[in-house]
Amino acid sequence: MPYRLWQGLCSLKLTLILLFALAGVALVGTVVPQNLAPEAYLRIYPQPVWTLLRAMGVHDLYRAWWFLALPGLLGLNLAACTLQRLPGMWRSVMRPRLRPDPAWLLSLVQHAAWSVPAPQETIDFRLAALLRQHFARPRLLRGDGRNWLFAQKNAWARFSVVVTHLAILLILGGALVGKLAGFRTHLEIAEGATVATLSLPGATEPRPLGFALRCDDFAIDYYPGTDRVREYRTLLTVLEDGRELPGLTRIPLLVNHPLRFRGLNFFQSSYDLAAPRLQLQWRGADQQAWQEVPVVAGEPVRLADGHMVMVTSFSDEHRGQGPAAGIVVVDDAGRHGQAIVGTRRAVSTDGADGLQFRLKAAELNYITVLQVTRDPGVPLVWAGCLLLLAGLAACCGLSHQRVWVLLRPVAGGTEIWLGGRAHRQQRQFADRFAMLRQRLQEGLSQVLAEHQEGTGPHDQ
Amino acid sequence: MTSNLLFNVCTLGYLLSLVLLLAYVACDGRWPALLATWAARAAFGLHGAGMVWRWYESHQLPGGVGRVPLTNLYESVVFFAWAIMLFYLVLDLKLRRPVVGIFVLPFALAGMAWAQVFLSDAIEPLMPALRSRWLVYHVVSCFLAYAAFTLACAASIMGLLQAVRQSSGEPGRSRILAVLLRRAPDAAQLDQLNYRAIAIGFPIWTLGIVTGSVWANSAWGSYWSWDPKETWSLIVWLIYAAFLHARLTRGWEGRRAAWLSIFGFAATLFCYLGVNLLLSGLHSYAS
Repeated sequence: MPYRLWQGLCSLKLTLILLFALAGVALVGTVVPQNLAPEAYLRIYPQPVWTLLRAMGVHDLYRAWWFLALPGLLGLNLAACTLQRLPGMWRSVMRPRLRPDPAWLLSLVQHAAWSVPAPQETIDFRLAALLRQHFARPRLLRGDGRNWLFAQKNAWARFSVVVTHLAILLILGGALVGKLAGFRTHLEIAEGATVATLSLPGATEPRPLGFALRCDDFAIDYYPGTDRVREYRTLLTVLEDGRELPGLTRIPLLVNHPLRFRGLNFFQSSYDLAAPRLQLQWRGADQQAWQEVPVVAGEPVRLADGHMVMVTSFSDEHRGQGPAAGIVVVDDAGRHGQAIVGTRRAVSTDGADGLQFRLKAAELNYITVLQVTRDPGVPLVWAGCLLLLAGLAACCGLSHQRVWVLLRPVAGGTEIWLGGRAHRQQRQFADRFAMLRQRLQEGLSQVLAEHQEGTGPHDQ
Repeated sequence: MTSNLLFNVCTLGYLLSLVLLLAYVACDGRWPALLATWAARAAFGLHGAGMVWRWYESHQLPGGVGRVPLTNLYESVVFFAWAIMLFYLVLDLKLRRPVVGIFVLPFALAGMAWAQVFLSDAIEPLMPALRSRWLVYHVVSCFLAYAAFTLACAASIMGLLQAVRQSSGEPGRSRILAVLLRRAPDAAQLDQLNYRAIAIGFPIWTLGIVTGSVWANSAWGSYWSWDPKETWSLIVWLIYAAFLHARLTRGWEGRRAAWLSIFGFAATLFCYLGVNLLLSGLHSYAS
């Protein structure tokens, strides 16, 4: 039974089934929307369908155990296949057949045989030179009164399959490491604020970063004359024990330029508007001089004369008059008044006391939203990707080609047996073999002609 | 815009080439085929010049909008058609079978016509996520692979017709088709062509996915996020991986391989267009 299990695990049929199954199941996840709220699904599907989808985990397909089992099985399958075939590959590369007999050569798809009227000794070196010139450097072996030549190209290309499969295992391994030891979450930092913890999904306690991050600035850059965004930019400073780290101050974080620091990656993800910061000016009814007070929208502030003031709303453009803020003023007696305050002229609140307000300056305050990830599997994945590309290029572009020549003395000369084999790209190899055979025959006839001219007169 | 004019002329050039090829099948002489080949080459030259010109035009626009012409649906279709023609013309140099063009040209022609008639050719500024040097590597490798798969599909369609002709011995229902197939490579050659195109396209497709992952890892914070486009690119990869493995087993040559290749191409087209037009996700350049 274990043997049959192993055979099944090694089979190419299983590979094909898994490849198609993975494709088919992955497709489902692109048709059924992923990770929506239950209400959203109920708007799309009737209750029983949604119950079934949820029970099977189709709404979160790519994390469902039965989905992950497919790449897991595929990994096992290709590991098994590769292990099973490795010894054979190793043998064919390291211990090639060096002294084939004519019958074996005839069994090859590419073979040829012809005779030349010259002894072996006059042509074997010449054949070796021709093989070297037109194919690859051969080994010359003698024995039994026969000579053999063996030449091969791209022997290591046999292992390209191993490299490719290993690469896929590395990528799957990297993904597994990332799944087990990694996380991803969001981090919001208002301009000027500093954070030192992350809140992870599913965790109750915030996780300390080990350092602190301050958002110095967030800006949106537009293409000139349009409202199209060109770049989102956050300036971040890394702090440790309250001190700025040299070289890590005001680091620009752009959409395609994340910050990678101590195994954590920070990506510009999105942004939000925080409460605006305003500079209000005020004076009492009997005063001449204006006094200034900084206000954050939504936070009440006590003025020097005892009134409380709070900005309740803000707009950076109010009826063509520039920025304006809605304020509420409350005195100790609980009487309150309100007004809309702009930059152009002073207004009195409609309550009591004749307080006058003016908006000096207003600044929109942004919150930058960063995506934070930790994924120790990424180096494995990249190593796997590089190996995969190298392995595939070799798999699809190179084949291990071998050529054997057997020289056997016959009456009046030598019989030449030529055989060739490629482990893939048979058609190209057939052309190449035909060409090689022609080159060898032409080269030999040249030698024979020289041989006869040189020896002719002495024989007579 | 001048680039637009170039693309219009180039589309007409492909059309002319196709008409000449049909004339070559309909009548006997060799010259229509010769003219068709040269028309296709000239149109291909204009096609490339048009893309370079569009690049130049984008840099002439105010506000630093300049970027490679590979960033929206229109430009991608134009590049797709260019890549198909690139593979076809290189193949034609080796194969010297003009009738193959009858099966390949319609793909390039359909793409160009669709782009010219229905798609917006406005040069829009790039959104922040697209402002990356990985854009060029990712898009170029993906579309070269698409083009190789297109060629495999064209060879498969020819191969299926040829296989029907060779097995039945019938010259086909129409005389034109019979002549066409007589001048086409035989079924075994077409099967080989199908395989070679996929063997070339598959590593390039892998490169496209890998460069996309590297890019996603710096723009979106993750090398893989099961976005529909990513998932479909994996589906296409799995189908062609299955194709290449199926070749190692008996019986997966000829017709079955051809059908699998056509099926793979359908998935490829869905990955390219269907995902953008029918599903929603991060790769939303189609809007």
